[in-house]
Amino acid sequence: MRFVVLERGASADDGGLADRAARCGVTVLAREVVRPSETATTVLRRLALDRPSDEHDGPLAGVLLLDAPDLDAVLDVLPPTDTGAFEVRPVAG
Amino acid sequence: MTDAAAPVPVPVPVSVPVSVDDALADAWRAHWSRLIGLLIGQFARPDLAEDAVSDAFESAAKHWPDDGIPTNPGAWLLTAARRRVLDRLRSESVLRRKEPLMVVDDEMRALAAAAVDPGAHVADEQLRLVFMCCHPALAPDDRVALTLRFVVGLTTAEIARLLLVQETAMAARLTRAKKRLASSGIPFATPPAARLDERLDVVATVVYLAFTSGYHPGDGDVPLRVDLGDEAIRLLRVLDSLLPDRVVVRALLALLLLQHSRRDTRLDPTGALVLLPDQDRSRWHRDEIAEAVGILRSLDEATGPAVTGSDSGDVEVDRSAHRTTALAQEYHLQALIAAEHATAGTADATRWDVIAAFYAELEALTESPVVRLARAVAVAEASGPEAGLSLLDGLEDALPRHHRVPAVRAELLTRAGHPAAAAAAYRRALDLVTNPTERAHLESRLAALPDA
Repeated sequence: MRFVVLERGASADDGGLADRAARCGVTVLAREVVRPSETATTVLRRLALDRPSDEHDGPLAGVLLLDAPDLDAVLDVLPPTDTGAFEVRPVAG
Repeated sequence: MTDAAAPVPVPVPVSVPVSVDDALADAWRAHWSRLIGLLIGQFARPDLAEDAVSDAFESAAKHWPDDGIPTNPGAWLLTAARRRVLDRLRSESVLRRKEPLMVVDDEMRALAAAAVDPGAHVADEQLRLVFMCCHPALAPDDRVALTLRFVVGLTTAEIARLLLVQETAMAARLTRAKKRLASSGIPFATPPAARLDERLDVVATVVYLAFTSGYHPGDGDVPLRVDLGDEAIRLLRVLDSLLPDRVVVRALLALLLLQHSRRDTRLDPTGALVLLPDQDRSRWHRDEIAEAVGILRSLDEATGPAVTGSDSGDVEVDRSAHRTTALAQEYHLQALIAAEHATAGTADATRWDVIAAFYAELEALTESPVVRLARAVAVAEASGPEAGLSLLDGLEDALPRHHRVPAVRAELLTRAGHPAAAAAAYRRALDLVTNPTERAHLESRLAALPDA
């Protein structure tokens, strides 16, 4: 079974995740740390907003991991929707 | 390529001695945004670029009085600014700080790194700089602040004063916005053709806001070194030369030229606002009005007449080469209205019927109650106060805190010969008005009513 886990707060190191995963029979498919919240762009009803998303934007629905030349390409590729929102952040590093 | 055997060129004596202050001001005007653009292109660090160019100008102010003005001030400043960026990058790597980089393509980086003279090739960088500052993923207020800082070259204190915020708040906002530029994935790039029109609309909105902020400078002891009207017009000319035949740019250029042409007559010697009909038309800048009218004529030829005077008949115009957005049409109509005022020989000679028709089109386009209000005034001038009054219905609900709705109603009721109703409307306007000059005007109008 595949799971998505969202990390919140400051979590630069993985706290020995790999070791525990091996012991527990879990495979970490990917772990990405994102840049701080001031780099977040929230796309709401086709508008790009200068903020992270919050609970008013709707409950968590999914995760996309994209490789794109820049933010504009990401904004272009997101599905146009009148409900829900997308928070976009570059991966740190 | 340099030839070592070539004779050393004899320095040509400058016929008019140039002061260091003038040379610095010229260099600032000619090179500020080009230098910033080149440095971001090369180093992908908007934050460092801005500091480095500031430092380079400071260094020039220190060294040029003793060392003399360099033959190529732009190249001198570029070298100095690059050195600053490299110093900062070096100290960051000592601290093992890994700052994220702005998205800049490799070809651009190589070109920017190879440039020695900001006067030579910078068209791309300047465009990229403008589109970067006006990126839709930035907050609208930040776009204006960043454009004033990066493109126009105003200081934080000056921007704070123009946008009516505390200097510390503006400094914090700019710092945050620069961080966002550097690391949110916003590209230092000209948008692709399919996106160009919508992105140019954002740019035009920012330029217009910058222009209008120059007309309402807040109180404060920071004198502005530049005329923002001039700077906004200059920026539009650059955009027009780099992206020719864009309606939104040409229409806004015409509109700003027309508004700016009246700059010397907007205030009386005491600093009080002088309304359009009372302005001294002989002191309007005729050359700018003529240029704007020429632009509007070329737009009409390109896109067809904006107003034909009737709704009959479809105007068949191939707009494919000149796709216009709603914003471009809005600026175009506003410019046409401004041109009517600017070309009327006297206030009485104003062609109010033409202006009313433009306002009707503008209202249909924007559905704005503020436009409806302006249209009501024009219609009243063209067709009498009763016609104007009929357009005011419902506007009090749409603009509940707007003193100008009851003020216009009062004025039209006065002209229509209904002093009692006019008095009531003046009192409603006085309840809402905040500006002391306008309050005094309304009070004198109320007092002058017969049998009020």
